[in-house]
Amino acid sequence: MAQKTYGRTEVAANDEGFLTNPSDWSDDVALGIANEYGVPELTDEHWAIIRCVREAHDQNRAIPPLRALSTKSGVSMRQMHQLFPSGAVLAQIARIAGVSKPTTCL
Amino acid sequence: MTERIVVIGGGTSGTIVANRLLKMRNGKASITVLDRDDRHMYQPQLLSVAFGLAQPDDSTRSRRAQLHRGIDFRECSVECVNIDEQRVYIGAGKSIEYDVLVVATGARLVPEETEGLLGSGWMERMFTFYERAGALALRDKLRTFKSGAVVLNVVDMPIKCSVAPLEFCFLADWFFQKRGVRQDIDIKYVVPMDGVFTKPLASQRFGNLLEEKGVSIVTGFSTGSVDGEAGKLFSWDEREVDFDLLVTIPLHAGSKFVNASSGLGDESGFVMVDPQTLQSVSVANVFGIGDGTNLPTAKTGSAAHYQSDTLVTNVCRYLDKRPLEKSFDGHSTCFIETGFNKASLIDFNYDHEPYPGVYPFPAVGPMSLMKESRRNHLGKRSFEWMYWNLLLPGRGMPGVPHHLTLAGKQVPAGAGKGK
Repeated sequence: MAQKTYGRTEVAANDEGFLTNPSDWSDDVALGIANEYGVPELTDEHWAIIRCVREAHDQNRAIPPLRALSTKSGVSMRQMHQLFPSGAVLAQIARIAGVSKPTTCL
Repeated sequence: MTERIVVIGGGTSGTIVANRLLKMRNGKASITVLDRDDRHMYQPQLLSVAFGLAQPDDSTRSRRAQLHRGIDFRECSVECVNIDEQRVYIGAGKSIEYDVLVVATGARLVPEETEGLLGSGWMERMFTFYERAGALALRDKLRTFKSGAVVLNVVDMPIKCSVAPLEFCFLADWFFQKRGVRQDIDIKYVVPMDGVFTKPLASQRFGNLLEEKGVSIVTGFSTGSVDGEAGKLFSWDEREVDFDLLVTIPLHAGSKFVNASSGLGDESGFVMVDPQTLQSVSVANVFGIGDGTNLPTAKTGSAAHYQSDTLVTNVCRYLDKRPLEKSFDGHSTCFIETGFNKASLIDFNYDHEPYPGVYPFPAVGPMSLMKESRRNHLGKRSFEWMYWNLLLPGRGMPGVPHHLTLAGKQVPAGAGKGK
């Protein structure tokens, strides 16, 4: 467990950097986390994906697999990897969107 | 009036649910199970088939024969479900009406959705052991493979039995050592996650074990396409991995009829259900269970077995007009074969990642969690008998509760709630 600061907001995060209190999330926090992955700003395409993830998580406590997310958000797989370029894309998107780590592995 | 319960899918989930509902409704319900064929395979055996340790036909039985007398089994293809009409359409204009529908259809492999995977080299140097023909072809290839790079690639999550890719690498190390060619073979584990697992403790433990066995690990690799002729995997972010032999875990999807049934599933054809009640998120008299759902837990027989308790209870509660129980906790238990007649074991749920400890009985075990042991291996070996004789008939596992218990587990301070 760790305290992190994004802009003026202090948030609680677990050892992997995922927010432990969903109400800590804000646009500024999302941008701060995105910066850590080398994403300097969040464009409309980024936000389309983030909104999809948050809606799905609110409804079903889970986020869709990457391909389903691509279909749902209208952002192609290739574009998705360009928008979120650092490694494990789904986990990265989940962290930026302020939801828990994808559990589709287990 | 007789309650009409229709179960689509006569695999692990559908069989357990139908058998338990028959008993629970005690003559009040007519239960119909639909499946496209009458062959029920114990799927964990496919990995053993690939290494020549089992024959697929020894682990395949009649679906009908696993269902208790009084359950109507019909071989047919489901075209779609109309949730407003409460009907399952089975082709040629025929349909079956239901009061409660249980979707237990499992997951489907869709290798065709990865560019190049079914092209040149498929079933020659690119295989999957997730289906019968692929497991048999891979067995023949492994017997004669002498040198080069063996790459195990998970194209994307979710997949059935997410420990099977790890098991493949552990068993490949054992198998090639036994054949005396291990020194000439590189084994690579290439996955889209940021670790060998999504959960930290298991990721660390099994990552270490892979390294001890000389298996190299490539994480965060989201496969975009495959060139079988050149022997290359390409990721969406333009990285490459070379292979001489590719063992792929292709993309998974739900059943086709789910996509053709308005309101039933998500974009990938997985049935959308409440993660605690297993009721459809869009209609009250439809329930989903097992690999074909979007449940954020393992797609395994053990998870389906644990889900069956909640599902059967809630179907009965729905029919009796009582509130549903929010009782499924995401529980799953998985053996992980690690080679040399040893196996590890993990037990976890939505809120608790796999921990070390003993299982199923506190203090005595006899099995070890997150640790290799011969007893775990024997446990896995004996599981097929339990599957056919205890699980499918709906009898349950002695001493194994449906909910995760922390007794016997070494839980780190502050653990839980998915941390």
